[in-house]
Amino acid sequence: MSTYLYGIVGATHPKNVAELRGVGEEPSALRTVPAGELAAVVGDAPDGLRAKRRDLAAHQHVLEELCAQGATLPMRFGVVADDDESIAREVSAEVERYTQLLANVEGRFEINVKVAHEESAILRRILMENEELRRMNEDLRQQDGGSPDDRVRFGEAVAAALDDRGQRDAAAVTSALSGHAVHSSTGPAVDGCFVNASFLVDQNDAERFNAAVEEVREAFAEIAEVRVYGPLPPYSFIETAGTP
Amino acid sequence: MTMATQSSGSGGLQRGGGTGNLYDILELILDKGLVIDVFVRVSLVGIELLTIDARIVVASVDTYLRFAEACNRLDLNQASNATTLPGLLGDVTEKGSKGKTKGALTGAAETFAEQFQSSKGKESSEERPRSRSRRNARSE
Repeated sequence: MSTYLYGIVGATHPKNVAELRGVGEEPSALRTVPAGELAAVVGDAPDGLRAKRRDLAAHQHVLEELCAQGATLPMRFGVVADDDESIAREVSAEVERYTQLLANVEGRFEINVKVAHEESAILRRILMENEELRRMNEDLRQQDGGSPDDRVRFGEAVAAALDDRGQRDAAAVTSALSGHAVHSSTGPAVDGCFVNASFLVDQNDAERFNAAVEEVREAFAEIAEVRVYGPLPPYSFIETAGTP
Repeated sequence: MTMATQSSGSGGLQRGGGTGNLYDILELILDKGLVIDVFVRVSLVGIELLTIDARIVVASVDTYLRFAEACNRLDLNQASNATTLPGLLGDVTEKGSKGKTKGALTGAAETFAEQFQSSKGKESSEERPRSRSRRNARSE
């Protein structure tokens, strides 16, 4: 039976894992594997495990519970080892690095912020602010929509203006929030969002960060939707050692 | 300091839970987080389709035509408060660059937990309709 790895915790973590249930159709009880001063939280890896919604949710849930108990390095979904011994060996070999990473996330959590323009609102805004685009739009209307080539050319100009606007708005959002976070991390592009960023927030800064989010929400209320997810396990901050 | 000794002001912070927002943080669970190179990862066949689907559609003729058509349908006279935004954005940038927000907002902060709940509730109802409307716009 191979072993599924959820996360790595430090010596002071309470490690109350017996009640937690992990991935699989009939999830096994979780257990800890000591590795030097650290411990890995693991469970039996079910046969034929795939990234089903149920299992993704179980992985996330276990990590939320572990993070609520104390600093935890969250594993990416789906890391499976041959057995507990190999986990003990590999984690022991990196105790120093993992200890530093744990110190970096101690008392902190990840907040993910996604901001998406409301399409018609932002297009209207772009046309209002750009006389050239407004004129092109009027011309196409006069010609009953114009030729496909003309429409593509106009659409491309609109897309460029939208992209430019997205970059400026993203800079404004990131700048407004990162001042209240310990670290920030830009996530991959997500459909429709001009901001997908995660912030490592110290629990003592939580209210200030939250207030900054509300300011952003208000400032963008007419043209964009601000979606905030968290507190999350610090998935995006397991490579950011030490720096303040 | 551990998370267990968090200040009372952030009492709700360690609770989030639930899977209502799972889709929206999928890229964190699948692409971020710690890996140990010698261990295998389970196959992401299937789920990868989902994440690619969620990623931004690169600039294409389809997108350009959609923007052109959307602009064509806009009634610009509806825009009432258009002039207020640049000022607000400037405001945000300025405050962000100073890295401090004082006074006015400190009493108004709802807890993260409340915010978490409200964003969760909103998402489940908004996500699908939006992607549907995109497809509609394209096929019109």
